[in-house]
Amino acid sequence: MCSIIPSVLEALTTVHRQHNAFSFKAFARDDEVMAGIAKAVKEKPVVLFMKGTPEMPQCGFSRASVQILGMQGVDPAKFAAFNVLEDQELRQGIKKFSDWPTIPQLYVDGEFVGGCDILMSMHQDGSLAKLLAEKKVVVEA
Amino acid sequence: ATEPEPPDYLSEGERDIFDKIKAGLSPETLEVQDISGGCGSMYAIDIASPRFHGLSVIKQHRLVNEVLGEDIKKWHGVQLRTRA
Repeated sequence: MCSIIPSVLEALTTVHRQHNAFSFKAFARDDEVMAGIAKAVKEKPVVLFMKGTPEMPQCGFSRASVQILGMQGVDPAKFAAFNVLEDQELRQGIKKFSDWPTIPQLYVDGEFVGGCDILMSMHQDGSLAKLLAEKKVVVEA
Repeated sequence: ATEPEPPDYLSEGERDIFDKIKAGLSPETLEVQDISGGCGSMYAIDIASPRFHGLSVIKQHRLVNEVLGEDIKKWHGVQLRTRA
């Protein structure tokens, strides 16, 4: 299994900067926010809702999640991150949308996978590597 | 099987969570720990329960969310470990 690929982690942060221009603040109504999130979770095959950015996470759990994705060799071109701290509508909306009370939240192929605890356990037991390989979202070795 | 008893050293917050999980999930083993330095804003919870048998990890966590949902919303975070 590969160790952290620094360039992958670096590249993940570059991708992020292109993405967080999208703001949920423009939506006045709840259903518009939900519709916006429904789109966001499909933005890329791997979407992480986190506190802070991949380059500067604002929470240990968010940091750990980004590191795990980096270690798994997720293709930066297939990755998007949304910073919930920049956007209160998103921060509340994603918890409602996923029916999950905490951040970070990982979506793969538009489907909710879990938060940091689940990511860590999947990372350790090999099921995360399997999922990411199946969805073809990792950088070719 | 014997039910887990809450240790004496649990804080009020920890005890409250312990009792809710014991009542709601029939655990075989259960550990609750305040990991926010005593502020009651983050907990590490370890649960082994036959109710989790056959469920994916995420479904197991959702069961815990059902029991502790309102509390978790108030916390900064939670560390959940569950197994059947």
